[in-house]
Amino acid sequence: MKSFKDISISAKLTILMAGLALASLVAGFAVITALDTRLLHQELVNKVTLLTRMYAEQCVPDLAFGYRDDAQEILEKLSLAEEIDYAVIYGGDGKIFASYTRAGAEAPPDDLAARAAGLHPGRVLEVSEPMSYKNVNYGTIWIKAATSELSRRIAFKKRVMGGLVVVIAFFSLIIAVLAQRLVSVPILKLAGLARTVAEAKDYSLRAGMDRADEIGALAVGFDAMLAGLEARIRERDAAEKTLKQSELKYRNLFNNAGISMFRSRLDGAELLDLNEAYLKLLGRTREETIGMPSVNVWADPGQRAAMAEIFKTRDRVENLEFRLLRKNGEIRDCITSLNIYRDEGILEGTIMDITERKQAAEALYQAHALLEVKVVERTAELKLANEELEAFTYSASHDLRAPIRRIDGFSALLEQECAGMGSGGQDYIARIRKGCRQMTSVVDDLLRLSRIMRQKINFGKVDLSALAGEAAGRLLETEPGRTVKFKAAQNLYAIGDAGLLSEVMDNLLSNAWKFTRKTENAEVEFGAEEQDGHTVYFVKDNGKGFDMKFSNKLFNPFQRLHSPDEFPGTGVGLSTVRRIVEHHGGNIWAEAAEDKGAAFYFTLTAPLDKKPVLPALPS
Amino acid sequence: MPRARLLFIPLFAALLAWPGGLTASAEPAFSEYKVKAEFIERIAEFVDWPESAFSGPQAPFVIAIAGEDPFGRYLDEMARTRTIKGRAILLRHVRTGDSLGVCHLLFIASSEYGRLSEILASASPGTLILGDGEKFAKNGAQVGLYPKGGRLRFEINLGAARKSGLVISPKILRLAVAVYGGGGV
Repeated sequence: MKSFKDISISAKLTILMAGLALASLVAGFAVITALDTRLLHQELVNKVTLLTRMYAEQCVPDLAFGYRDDAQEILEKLSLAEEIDYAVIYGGDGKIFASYTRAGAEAPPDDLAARAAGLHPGRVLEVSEPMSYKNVNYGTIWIKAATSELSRRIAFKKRVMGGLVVVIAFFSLIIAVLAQRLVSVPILKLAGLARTVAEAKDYSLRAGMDRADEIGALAVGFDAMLAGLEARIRERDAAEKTLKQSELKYRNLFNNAGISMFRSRLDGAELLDLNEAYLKLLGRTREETIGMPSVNVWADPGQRAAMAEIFKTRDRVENLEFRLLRKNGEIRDCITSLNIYRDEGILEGTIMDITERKQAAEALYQAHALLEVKVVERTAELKLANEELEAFTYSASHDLRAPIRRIDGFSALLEQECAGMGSGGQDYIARIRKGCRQMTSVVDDLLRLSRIMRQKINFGKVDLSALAGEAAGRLLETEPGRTVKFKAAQNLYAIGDAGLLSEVMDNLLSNAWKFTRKTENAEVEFGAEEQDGHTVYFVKDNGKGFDMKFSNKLFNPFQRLHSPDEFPGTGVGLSTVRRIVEHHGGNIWAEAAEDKGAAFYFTLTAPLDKKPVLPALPS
Repeated sequence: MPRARLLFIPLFAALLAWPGGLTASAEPAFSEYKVKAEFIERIAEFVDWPESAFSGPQAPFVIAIAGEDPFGRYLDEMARTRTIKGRAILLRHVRTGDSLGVCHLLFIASSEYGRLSEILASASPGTLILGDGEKFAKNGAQVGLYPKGGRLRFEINLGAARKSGLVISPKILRLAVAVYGGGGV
């Protein structure tokens, strides 16, 4: 048996509406009938009471004077009231004085004393009234009315009401059916649609109801939901297709990748997936590899055990080197990078065979080491040769000084002795002496250069500004006639050897002094600027300058860009400067153009990144 | 209601049985005068006297009997044991030539019919005059008693009643054989 919950909405609505109408009808009718019954009863009571009082009043004199016939005549008139069963007047002695009994009705008790026992409350209605006049009582009247008439009228009313209930119930049922159709038909339509959608999975269906009530709202919502579902399914299908394509793409990438890739259980019990490159590396077929314990690829069980420890704490391992065992027993050096998905107990990674690379690196390292040894050997040889050369230079220079002085000395004597010599002879002797002086200055320069190379550097804080000022002062003393505008930045300090840096300033400033000799409004400037985080000192002039294509010759000894007649000099100065700067770990370079002046830049501490760095080799 | 009265109601009911000849269950000794005595009392109950007729609340109800007393001891018994209008009953017998004096109800025996006009003239206002006979009411007495159709009936003279300041209850008019003097002086 179906419970009320399970029967259709239309049946529910019909039952509810009809039931409600019927219930209210029955309740209303019941109340009306009950009220009517009460009212009718009351009416009867009132009527009988009134009659009794009237008859008591009326019949008092008849009773008083004993006119039984008159009283009887009056009582007989009650036959008009058909609900009266009898009316009886008892005299003062309690006996019947006069009475009327309706035909067929029960006669009244003979004696007033018998009355008390004979009462039938409910079905019968009896009213009594004392009969008195002016405080004198002559007897009692009793009138009995049958309630059967009342019951009949009530029963009739009930029948009418019952009939009405049936008729109204019928109409209310019809109305309920019509009303429920108004509500339930669209709902049933929606329900049918929902069932169709659920069974056929056809989300293109629509309710398409145009109503302004809640069902309309429901239908609109339902349609919107279907549209949403349809769109979602379309999106899902598209996404699935894309996903499949993407999967295929990545599967191809995976399989065709040059690098070995795999997926295995974290505990190493099973190799779940691997690509062609890995199969090739292992020298196995796919069939025999899938499902194989992945630990089998490790040539060294100890390595694998150490790896398992690492897996416990890390989510990613990169470039881990291990030895891989091929099917044919060959061992390959490999590096692997792994992602560990601990929750799923999965390991994914790539493997690269570095056997060849390692061998190459090993070979390279060997070659490099050999080269290094050779460089050390050569450097030592070179250093020795250099030292020998310098020693030679020094001793040669040193040994040259005495003969030159002697030539000069004897030339001076010869000049005095031969004062009468012709002007030609005098001139020759003068030239000899000039050559001697020039040679002496070259020898002095060379000696200074070689001394610098052998000298140890005493580092200290040096005031470059002061050194520049002193050098400029000395230059001005040598040629007081020249006007050169000299600018020097103040408070430029450096860490270095004071004597050697004084030499640098002397050389660079005398260079500038020298090459501005033929320049009007000659200017020489010493200063410093920041380049790439380093302090770069400079000496600039607006003198002769030089062509930059010769700049590589500039710092080599005895290299001159101008003739000694034009600008005298030995050609050793800038190479001395370079030596000193390089001894201080610095660099020196020049920027210039012909007739546009020259600028010499130098640093005193070489930038770190300019130091030559050899590639580190694996140990 | 005075308690004593109730005791007499059964008796009276039995007396009433007399005119209809229903004497089988009743005492056969009841005479017409016993019924008349009861009638006197009943009629008195249905008549209203002016207040001035009584000297006070305790004043007795005086019944005077003119002529031969037909009631014998029965009326004496009634006067002794019962009340009229809540008052004690006082009986007086009036002989011929006697002054009527103060009385509320005067019963004139049929033998005194010849002296009716004389008695009427001497009766003071506020006296209810009952005559024992058919012609009394027609000729000036307020009430006349006589048997008719086997029953004791009465006639009423309203004019006489009004003249003497009495009010007879309309209730008993229906029972009267005749009512006189509705418009009389």
